[in-house]
Amino acid sequence: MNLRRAGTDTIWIAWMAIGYIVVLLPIVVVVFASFSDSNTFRFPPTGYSLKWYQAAFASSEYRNALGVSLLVGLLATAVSLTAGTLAAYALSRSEFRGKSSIETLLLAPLALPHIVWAIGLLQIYAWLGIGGTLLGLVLAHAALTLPFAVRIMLSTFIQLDRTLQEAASTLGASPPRVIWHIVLPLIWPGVLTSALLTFLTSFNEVTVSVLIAGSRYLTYPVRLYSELRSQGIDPTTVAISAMLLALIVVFALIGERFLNWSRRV
Amino acid sequence: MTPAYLSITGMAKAYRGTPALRLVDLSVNEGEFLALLGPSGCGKSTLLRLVAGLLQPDAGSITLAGQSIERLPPHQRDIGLVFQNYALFPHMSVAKNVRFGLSMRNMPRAEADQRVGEALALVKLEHLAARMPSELSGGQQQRVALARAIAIRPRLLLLDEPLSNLDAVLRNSVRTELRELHARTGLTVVMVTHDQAEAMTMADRIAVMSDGLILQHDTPQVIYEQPASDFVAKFVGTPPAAMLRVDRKHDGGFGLGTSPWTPSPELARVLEPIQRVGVALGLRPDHLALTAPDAPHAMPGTIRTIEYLGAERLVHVEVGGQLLVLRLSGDAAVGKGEVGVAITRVPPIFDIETGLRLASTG
Amino acid sequence: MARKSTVLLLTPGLLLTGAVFLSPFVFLGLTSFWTQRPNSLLIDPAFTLVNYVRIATDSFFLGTLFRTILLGIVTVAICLLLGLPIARWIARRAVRTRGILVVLMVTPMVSGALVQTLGLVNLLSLLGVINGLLKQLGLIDWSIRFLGNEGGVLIGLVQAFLPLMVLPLITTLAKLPEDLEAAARSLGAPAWRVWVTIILPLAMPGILAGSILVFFASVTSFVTPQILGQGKVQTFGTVMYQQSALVNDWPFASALAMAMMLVLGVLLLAVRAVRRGLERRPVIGSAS
Repeated sequence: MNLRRAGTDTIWIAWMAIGYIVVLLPIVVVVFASFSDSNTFRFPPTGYSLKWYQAAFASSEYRNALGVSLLVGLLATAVSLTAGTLAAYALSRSEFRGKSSIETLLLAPLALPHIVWAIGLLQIYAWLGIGGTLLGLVLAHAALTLPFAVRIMLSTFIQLDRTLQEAASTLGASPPRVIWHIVLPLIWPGVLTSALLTFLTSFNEVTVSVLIAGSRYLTYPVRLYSELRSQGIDPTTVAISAMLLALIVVFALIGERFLNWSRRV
Repeated sequence: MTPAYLSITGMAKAYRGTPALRLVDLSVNEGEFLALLGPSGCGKSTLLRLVAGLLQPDAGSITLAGQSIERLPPHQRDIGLVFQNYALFPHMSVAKNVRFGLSMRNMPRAEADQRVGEALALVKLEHLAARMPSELSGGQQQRVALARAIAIRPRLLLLDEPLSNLDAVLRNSVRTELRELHARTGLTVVMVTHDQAEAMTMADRIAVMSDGLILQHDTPQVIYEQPASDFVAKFVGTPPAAMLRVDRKHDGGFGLGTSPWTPSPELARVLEPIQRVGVALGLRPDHLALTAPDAPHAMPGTIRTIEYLGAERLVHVEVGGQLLVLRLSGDAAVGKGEVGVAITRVPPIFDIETGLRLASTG
Repeated sequence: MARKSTVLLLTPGLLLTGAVFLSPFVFLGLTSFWTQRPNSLLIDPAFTLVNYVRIATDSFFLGTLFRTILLGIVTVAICLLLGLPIARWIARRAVRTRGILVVLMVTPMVSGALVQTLGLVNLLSLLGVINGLLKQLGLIDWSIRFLGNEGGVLIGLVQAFLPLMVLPLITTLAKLPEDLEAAARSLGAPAWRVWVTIILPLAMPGILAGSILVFFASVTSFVTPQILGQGKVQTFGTVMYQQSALVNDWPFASALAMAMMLVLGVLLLAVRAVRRGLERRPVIGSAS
């Protein structure tokens, strides 16, 4: 019986291992490959070095792409977090007919296929003449990430006890002071969570960016995409990707430890 | 006559077409402790929130200390409110919670420190000033909420079900403490409660509410002895009053159910002039006594159950299809079976149709 | 809250979603009935069904549609087979362990599609990790070609979307009472019967949700087939992209996009019907 028990446990664990290997192996390989010393990655590597990391910091081309991604990400996060927080507040604090349809509408970008949207957006942007512009990219990323902000802020506001605001107002706090002293200090974990998630989504976005980004505002994923399409992987991008990965993992761990991400998202 | 300290006139409020308050007038004198008593959904909490300014009335006016306040936003009303769930700010220490209202009034630091100290001393929590709300027991949280509301020296203190979240042992001591606090501060207090015992023991006056209306507004004693309607009689008192229907026969006599009955001369004098087919007697234990089944004027009944409560016992007797409750001393011998029940005092008498007390009685 | 401020607070979000996200779908519906003038960037805004007729009659597009759906179905099947035991295992861990495992599962998703694809290329290429490893072990003499065929695309799709299957399954399975399985075992059911009669029926809502997510994601995916297929594997996503960005026949791309919306819409209606059937069924243990 015990032997059989141990046998089934082994099968379970092996199955788990296969699943996690499938999911995690590609990003592990990226980190591993970044330390290779040859110009094209091959396994087993001929040697190890940090030269691609040095190249990454030296290359102005990649710095530009990362800069564009950062700029678009920050602007899109600002827009979508503001719009999302306001909408979530209205949805959590009032009752009206059609409320659930408005919620569905705001969450629609989660459900509708992005490739279809991107093809339509490309045509509209061409018609409006904002294809390839910063405005176009920021608007697209903001619209795409809005549902994350709405969803996380909505659950944040629902958890915020409404009587706290009422208590503050009976104690003499005017509405702006209620928001400043009571609401903001209590919702900041939710704000931070949705800001990080929104930023990451924008930073990683590729489907729509490939279609609407022009040569002036080329985000890092679009840069990486065209490299992978044209068959040649520059080891510098591998090093940059490895660094980005490390950053993201650190963020994810911090988020889980302090903000309980796995229960919030 | 000078106008009342707090006076509410013609107050009405509906939620999505469902009336919560129909048309309420209420006045509270300065320094008085008023209880708004009623079952859940009767509109008492709505009334409290309207006074605090957390809801906007559909109609009606509120004046406080001679000032019309129904248009003022809550933060300009100077009314302290202790919430049922206490609503302590979880990100602030006890002292910061109590100080909050004073900071909003931009009070100088030294003065605010002193006020916070006073308020915490009043609720005997000076030693917990640095704690966070999550580190306090339910009873302590409630006292912090109380101190926070008192610290702003409100013109009016509102308490929303202050005892409902406390355990039974704590409830009794907090009841006394709230009473003492009221005596010491001289604040005008309006408390919402669904517990009639709480209202009876704590309040100077009680407003009994049902279905968006105030049914009776008077001292606990008057409400207990001369309830305005059968609802009030059944809602107030332990045990509540039982309603016994008495019919008027065609020949002018009286009947209980199908059998004829001759009331005592004292009661008959009150019942005779009432020109109704039937009335309801609101009978509490203090109106009743056990007798032999064949005693004159007694109502024949059957003992159903006996509750032993130590110093006394409550005897449930079925009379004419109704259960009446009598009180006997703990050591009195009672058997089971057929008994007689005598009405020893004239009880309040209610109209069968409207439920209102007939003015000539009680 | 006052009606006016509610409207005011909702306006920016609705405007953003409506103008930027939803309007392209309307626009696509419109332009799919127009045509591109030959050898020109001008569009002829006259109503015609010619684009749709072309999709319905051209064997290339029909074949692509069929291949895309087939890839989606196989991806769902593999994810389900792989994901169900994993989800079951994770769901039975303590909350703390479960959190860590969920974060590990989500990490690739938040690290971006392209970084993952980059890793996959390094893993699967002729000189990549897998071929290198197999050669070192002496199992093969010649590199196996993983990229540029359906197999490679399939690996990429499973890798990218397995978490989409596992996460809803964990949510569903974590809600099941712990004792359920023990109860079934104590009544004499062998392990495989516990799975068939207890776990699978109760996990059905999660299985449906996960399958829809994975199917949608793989059918509409574009980066994975484009890069791992190396231009040799056409899916609906890559064809739409080519028609938009390379051929520049926008009305035809619109019609392709609408055709995809139609396929997904029909599928969604079918799933809803299945789900309604599930809801009518008694929740635990049907007698049949």
